[in-house]
Amino acid sequence: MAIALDRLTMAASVRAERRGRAQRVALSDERIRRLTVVGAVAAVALVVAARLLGVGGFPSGVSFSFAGPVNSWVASLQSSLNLQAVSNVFVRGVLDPLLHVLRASPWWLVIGVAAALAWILASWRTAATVTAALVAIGLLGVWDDSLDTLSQVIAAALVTVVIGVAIGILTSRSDTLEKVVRPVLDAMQTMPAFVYLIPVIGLFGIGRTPAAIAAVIYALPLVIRLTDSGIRQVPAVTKEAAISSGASPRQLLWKVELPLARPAIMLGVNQGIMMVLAMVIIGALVGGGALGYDVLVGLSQNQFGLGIAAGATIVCLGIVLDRITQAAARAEGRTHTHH
Amino acid sequence: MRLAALAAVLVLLVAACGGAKSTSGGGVGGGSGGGSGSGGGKTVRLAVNSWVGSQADVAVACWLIQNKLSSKCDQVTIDEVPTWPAMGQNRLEGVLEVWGHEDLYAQYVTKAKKVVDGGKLGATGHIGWYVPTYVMQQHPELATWQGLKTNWKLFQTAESGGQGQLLDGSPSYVTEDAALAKNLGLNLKVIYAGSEAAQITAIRKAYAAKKPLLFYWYTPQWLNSQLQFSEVKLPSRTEGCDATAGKKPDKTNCAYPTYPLYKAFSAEFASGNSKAYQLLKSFQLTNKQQDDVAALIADKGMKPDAAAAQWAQQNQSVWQPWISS
Repeated sequence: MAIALDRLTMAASVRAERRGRAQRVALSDERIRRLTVVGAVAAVALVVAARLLGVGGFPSGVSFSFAGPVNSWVASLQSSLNLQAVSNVFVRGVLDPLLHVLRASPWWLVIGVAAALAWILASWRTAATVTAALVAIGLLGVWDDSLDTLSQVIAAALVTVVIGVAIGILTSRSDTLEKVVRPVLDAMQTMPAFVYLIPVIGLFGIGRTPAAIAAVIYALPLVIRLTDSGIRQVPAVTKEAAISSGASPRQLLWKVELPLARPAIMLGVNQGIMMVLAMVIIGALVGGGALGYDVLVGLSQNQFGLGIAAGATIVCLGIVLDRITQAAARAEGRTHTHH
Repeated sequence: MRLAALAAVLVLLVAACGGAKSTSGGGVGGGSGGGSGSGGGKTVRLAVNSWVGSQADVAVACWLIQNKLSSKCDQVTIDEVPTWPAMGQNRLEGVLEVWGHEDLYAQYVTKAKKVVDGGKLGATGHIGWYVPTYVMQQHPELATWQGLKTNWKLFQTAESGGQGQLLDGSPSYVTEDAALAKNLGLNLKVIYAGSEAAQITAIRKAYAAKKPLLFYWYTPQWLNSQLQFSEVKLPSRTEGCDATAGKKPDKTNCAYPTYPLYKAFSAEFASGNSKAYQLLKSFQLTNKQQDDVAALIADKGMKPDAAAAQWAQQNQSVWQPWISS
């Protein structure tokens, strides 16, 4: 479904472009009108006929059941492939150290570092916003859970950005690759996460790893798409100038394309982080715990207060991460133009 | 040409929308479907809550109502809490499996009298700590919680770090596990799977590999008819050992209470005293019977109606008395 909608909107925009470029051979008004009337009558007749015959909907004999083969395939995959060790490395080597640093720091140090970052990168006003958001989190009484969520978001966002920018660069090089990757990205953005997360638990075990995987899968397409389109929009003239002055493909990428695509890529980074944060609720359904679990408990046990506190905290974390990454993007942009 | 196609698409859409019939059928909010509302009508609308056991109860009841009383029966998917106002407003005739919910009972049965107590379901809800039976056989000392004092290392995972892991599941169920572990002085860390589906996947994974796993679990539950679990007994309940006696939940230091599961019906449906009501009033399933039906649905992937039909045909002696009475 998503693929169909994506193609329709893309096709519509491509067509609009084409129409601007080339003069179309115009059909005579009379012909168009006649065709419209005939088409309309035919469509109404078809719908009425279908209704009379009682054949609405997709013919049920044609559809087939996926469930059996898919289940057995997943089961065999789970028994042959055990990625628990990979998951353990991620938990012990990345998440736990990060969480330990955050938890071991006193609350004022965490707030101080975040505020200082915002101040250096942007302004005292941004620093004040960040401070207020973090103090609010403390007052809402979910400080420890917030740090847990924050550590998961940072780790997942890093993975997302590294993989996303790399794939975005690759697809910007090749139209064929871009066409192959696009339906995969459609699926990643729209497939309900819970559908693929249960098999993921079978492979990686329960906990923060499947939660991070869900977040990465959800946020990755946007980063890839923005990187891809950012690089594609670098003017051909600029690239030709670089090549004719002897730039190697590597130099072209690092000195010309990436710097010029930076605004798009930084937007991807910023939005990627926000999307990772938005997935903490889904992550909690597979063992992510922390704020997402608090929201789930609030929802399912009628504990409105807990749900609201956790929900508001997620918003506050979002504000902090958004302001700091936006400020970073702008700061980098500034230093770049100074050169 | 393109314009014509576009117009055709639009006309098709309009025609299809205009002609579409209302599909709100058994919806609780809709009401425009076959439901007749008050007790005088024929359709019985029963609440299906989120767990498979609830689905199993209702599937069996509806199968009997449809096939043995020739009345209509709708299975309405709805959450636990909204089930009660829906019964109070006659948008649902009843619910067959209620776990606790003393507050809602007081509000709708005792005070407003819009809902009536429908008697016991027969099954008893029990929550506790469990391990797969193969773990219990190797470590018989795990029969009580004291065995966890020395054996916590068995359950250590990357997620639980320097402690043993206690795997909790659905956030819908009350858990005092973190407080229990602390108050009993056990070196256990509660890991929240966050959903029953995730917890079951983790249990199956451990079970297939014959690995140790300690988890929060309950009965009736369909998985109990597929895999063998043994309970790690928590300290027995004493006066005021948990929140039921006004104690703060974080001071809990004893086993969970048992829940005699019960049925509830809308007052209007009950006063109508139809044949369907009489059947539902007598309707009772044991934990084992419910697990059998639920396993057909959840594990064998049968449609609830087909599972109910298969079970009912094999267990005629169980339900025959409900109908003749």
